[in-house]
Amino acid sequence: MLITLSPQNPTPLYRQIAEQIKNRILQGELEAHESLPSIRQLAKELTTSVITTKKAYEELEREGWIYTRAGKGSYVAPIDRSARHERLLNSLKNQFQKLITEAVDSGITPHELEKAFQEVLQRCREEEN
Amino acid sequence: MQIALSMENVSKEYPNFKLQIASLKLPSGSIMGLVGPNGAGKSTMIKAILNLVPPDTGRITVLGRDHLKQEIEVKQLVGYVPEESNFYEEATPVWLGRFVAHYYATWDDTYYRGLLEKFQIPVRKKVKQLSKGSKMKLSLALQLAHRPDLLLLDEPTAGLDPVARRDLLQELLEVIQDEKRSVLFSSHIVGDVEKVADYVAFLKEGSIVLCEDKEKLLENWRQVQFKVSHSDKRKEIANLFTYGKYCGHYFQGITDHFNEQLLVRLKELGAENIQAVPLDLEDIMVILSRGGI
Repeated sequence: MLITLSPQNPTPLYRQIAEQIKNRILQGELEAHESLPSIRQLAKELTTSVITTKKAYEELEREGWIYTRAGKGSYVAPIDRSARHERLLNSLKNQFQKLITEAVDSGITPHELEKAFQEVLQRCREEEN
Repeated sequence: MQIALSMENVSKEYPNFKLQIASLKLPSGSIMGLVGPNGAGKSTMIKAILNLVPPDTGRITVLGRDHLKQEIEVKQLVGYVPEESNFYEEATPVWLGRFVAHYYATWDDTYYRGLLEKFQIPVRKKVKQLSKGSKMKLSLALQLAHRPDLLLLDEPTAGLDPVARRDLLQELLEVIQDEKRSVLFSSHIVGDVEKVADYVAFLKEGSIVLCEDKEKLLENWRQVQFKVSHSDKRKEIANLFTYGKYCGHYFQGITDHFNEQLLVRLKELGAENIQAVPLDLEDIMVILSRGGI
């Protein structure tokens, strides 16, 4: 499985792995019930520790993206589109919350935040066109 | 869960140094990295497992077998790659393979030949003509070929170029594709340990000061910085940290038990602009070695 790990990225490695698998599932690249590499195989492929891939799979399982059959391996969980969308929005909101708390803590006003958000959104729209 | 290696109250005293391992357990199917400054006792600890350094006290077991009472059995189960291999200088890798094969019931010659090819070791050259990297890989191939359940490596990546180092780490991960096998390797190249180890044991002055699941370690340790304008709680704040110092209104500290509650508590005590930065294994090792920041 093609996954890129960046040790310079402050996001922990296990979360980088989980995020990328999650994105594959969301984009439909990984289909429901498709089997995933074992934690040991994946660790070797990525030259990372088993404890890291194990933690990534545990997180994905807790969030309902994958399921594991004892002794058999892990598979992509079937998720209906609206539930998946809902979950994605919720995870996004959580990330916003963290970001906003951090910003407010360092003295940025809600008004400035709103402006910054609009600016970034605008930039993304322009890039897309 | 099966335990590949267990050390309990193991000690060995020298005139100027004492190795003292209170307790260490390595679960099967995992890799443990042994880190610590030069002279911390990493090599002595590894040698004690094989009774090359007979411990004064304590008990060591490999897959449940006592390393003294079942010494031969233990040695069959263990593959040991020393820091420097003393091969016969005139011997070739093929000759060495035949020589070592006599000692192990489980020797797999096809596997050995495969490893030599994979590691690109010139099979007909003499040991004295091999590069440092090739010698290390030869030593590893000789120990892998009898398929040990526990592989012990002393500074295997020292002096290797980045490509050879990566190959070696890959090979360690290959070993633990089999959940019954395990690896313990010492290194002062902390990055190598951080890459592939599941557990990290930190040795300082002969004792293990920290032994933890690597992911937990990286999650629990943080460098935290913030501003404290109201000064009546300064001492209380500093006490929340393992190490820390004030610089005017600012505080910089290290915690080994980072969580959300700590942040809440800090805010209650009047900390502002809190920033928590993750630390890598090298940072943690330096902090532990120095005993401060």
